Amino acid sequence: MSTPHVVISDVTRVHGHDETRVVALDHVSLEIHPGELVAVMGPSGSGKSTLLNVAGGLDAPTSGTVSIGGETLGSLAPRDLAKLRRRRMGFVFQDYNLIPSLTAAENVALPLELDGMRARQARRAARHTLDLMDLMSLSDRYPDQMSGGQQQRVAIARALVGSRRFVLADEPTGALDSHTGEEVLRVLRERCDEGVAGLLVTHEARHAAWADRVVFLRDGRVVDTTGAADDAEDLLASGGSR
Amino acid sequence: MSTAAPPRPDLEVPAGPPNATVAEPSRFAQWRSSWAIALRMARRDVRRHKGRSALVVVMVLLPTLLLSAVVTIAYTSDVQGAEKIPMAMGSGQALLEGPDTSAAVQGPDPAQASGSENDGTDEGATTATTVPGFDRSGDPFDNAAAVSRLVGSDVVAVDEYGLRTTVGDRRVSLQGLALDGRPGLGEKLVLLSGRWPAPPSTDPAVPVEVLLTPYAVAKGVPGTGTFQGSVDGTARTFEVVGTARARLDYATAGVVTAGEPVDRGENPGGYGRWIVLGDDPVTWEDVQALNGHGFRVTSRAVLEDPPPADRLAPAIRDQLAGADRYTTLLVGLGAAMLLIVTTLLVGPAFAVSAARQRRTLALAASNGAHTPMLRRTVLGQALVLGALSAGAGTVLGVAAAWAVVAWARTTGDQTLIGPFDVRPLVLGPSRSPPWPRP
Repeated sequence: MSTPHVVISDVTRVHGHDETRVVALDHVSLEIHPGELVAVMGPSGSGKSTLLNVAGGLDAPTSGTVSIGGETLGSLAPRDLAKLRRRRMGFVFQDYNLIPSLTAAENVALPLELDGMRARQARRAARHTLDLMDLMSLSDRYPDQMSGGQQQRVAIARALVGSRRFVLADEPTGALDSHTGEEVLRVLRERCDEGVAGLLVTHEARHAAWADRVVFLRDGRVVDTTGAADDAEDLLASGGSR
Repeated sequence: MSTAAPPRPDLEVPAGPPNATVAEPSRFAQWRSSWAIALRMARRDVRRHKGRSALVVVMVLLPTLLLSAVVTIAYTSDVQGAEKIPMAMGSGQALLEGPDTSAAVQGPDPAQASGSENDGTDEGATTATTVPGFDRSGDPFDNAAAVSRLVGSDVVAVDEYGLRTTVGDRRVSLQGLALDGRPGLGEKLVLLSGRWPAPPSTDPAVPVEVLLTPYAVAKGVPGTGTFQGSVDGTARTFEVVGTARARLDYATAGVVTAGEPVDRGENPGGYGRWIVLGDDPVTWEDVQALNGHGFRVTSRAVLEDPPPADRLAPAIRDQLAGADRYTTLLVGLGAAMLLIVTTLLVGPAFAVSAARQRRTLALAASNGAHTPMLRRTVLGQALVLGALSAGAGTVLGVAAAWAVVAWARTTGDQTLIGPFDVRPLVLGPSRSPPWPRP
C-alpha cells in the first residue's frame, strides 16, 4: 500500500472564544493517498471549507497536525508554508479562480514565477501542462475571454503545474451548468488517476460520485465515510449516518 | 471519527514534467520574478480599468504639474551664473559696476555674493584705490576712457533710464537703454532694421536718435518719424532711426539710445556700468584687482569657470552657503508639500484600488505568494500609476510653465526674461533649450 500523501491527524479548529466560540472542526482525521480523490460532503456550516483551508495551510488548526508529503504544516514558518503552496499543492475555488489581468498561460505559470523561475521558462512549463490537459488553445486568452468551464479547467492546470501534486477543490462546479461541471470533474478525475492526490469539497452527491471516497461532515465531525463513490447518494439520503 | 484510506495499489506522487523540475531559487530570483509579475499585472490593470486609473493619475498629476511648473518658472526667473552673460555683457568680456569708495570683495557672480573688503572688522572697510583720471562727479560715458585705461581694453558705458511718452491718449512708460551698439555687443543689443543712432546732442533742440524694440512697437510707439517724450522730467524729441532687440537684467527694453538722452544731473560717486570689449578674458585675478578699485565685476570667463571656494573671501563663502541653504530649504518645503498633498489626494484612491485587488491578492496567496510578494503586487500598481502620473505631470508642468513664460514676455513682464530653465526634478542638470527669448 502507498504512503499517504496528505495526513490530517486529530485536527480541531475553533473560531472565536467564550460566547462566540464555534467548533468548526472537531478531532477530524483523514488520509489521502497519491491517485486518490476524496470528496467531503456535508450541510452548510458543517466545516467542509474549514477542512479544506486547514489541509491547504490557508488556516491553522487549533490542535492536531496536517502533513503534506511528510512535511508538517504547523512547524513551517510563513515563508516556508508559502513555498509549500507554490510547489506542492494547488487550489481550485468555486469561481473567479483566475487573475483577470493574466492570460491562461500566465495564470498557470504564476506559482512557478512566484517561485523564482524566469517568465519564459515558467510559461513553457505552463503550456506543457495546458497541452497535457488539451487546453493549449486557451493559453493566450484572458479569463474574460473564456467560459466558466474553461476557466475552471485552467485553474486545475494551475493547481497541478510543475511539481504540484495535491489539488484542493472547493465547490469547483458550483458556478457551472451541470454539463460543464461534469467536464471539469472529469479533468480532475483524470489527473488523480495519474497519481495526483485530490480533496474535493462539494454538496452534490453526483459530483461526489467522481471521488474514490466520500467523507461526510456534520458539526465539524466526520460522521460517516464510504469507500465506494456510488454510495454517496445513499449516504446523503441517510443524512450522513448509517 | 477518523477516515483511513481503503487499501490501494502502490502509487507514489509522480514527479512533474522534466522541464518543471524546481531547483532551489535564489531570493533575488524570487524578488525579481515577483516584481515582474506585479508590474505586468499593474500595467494590464491600468489598461483594463481606465476610469479608475485615470482618477489616480489625475490626483498625482495635478500636484506634480503644479510643482514642476513652479520650479521651472522659479528657475527661469532666477538668472544666475553663465545664464546672465547675454543680458549683462552680450559678446563683451565683463561688466563693471561701481566704483564704490571701499574695496570690494565678491563671488563669481557679484549679484549673488559681494561686499566691502574688511567690512565689519575693527579696522573698518578698506578704502578703494583711486582710478586714475576717473571723475566721481561725471556720468559713465564721461568716465569710459578712464575705465578703459584701467582695464587695458575698450569699454562702452551702459545706463538705463525711464522714458515717458504718449501714444494717442495713452501714457506709455518705457525702459530706455543708453548704450552705443556700434562696437558690436552680440545678444546684448542687436540691430534689427535701420541704422545705429548717433550719440545724443547736448543741444536740446536736436532730436535724440533712438532705436525702438519690438516691445515699444507693440505698445504703439510710431516706428518711424519723431515722437515727444520725457526722461527724468526733461522733455526731448526722439527720432526713430531703426529697430533693435536689447536684453537687460530684469527689464524689457523699449528704446535704445547711444548715450544719455538728457542731462540727468548729479551722479553721486560717479557710479556707473561699463562693458569691457575685446578678446582678452577678464580672469579671476583681474576681477580681484578691479575689486581693489571698488568695482564689482561680472566676468564671462569667471562665470563660465568659477574659482574654487577656497579662493573666495570667508564672508563671500558664508553668503553663498546661506543662499544654498535657502534654496535647499525651499526645495525641501516644496517636496514636503508635494508629498503631503499627494498622500492626501492619492492615498484614498490607492486604498480603493488595493481593496479592489483583494481577490487577486487572495488568489496569489493561495498560489504561494507570501506577504512581501503581495506587498509588491500592491506597490506595482502604485509604481506604474505613480510613474505614469509623475512623468506626465512633469512634462505638462514644463509645458504650462513655457506657456506662462511666453505669455509673460508678451506683456513685458520683467521677472521672466531669463533662459527657459527646465529642472523638473530640481536635482537634474539645467538646460536651456531654444525656447522663446525676450
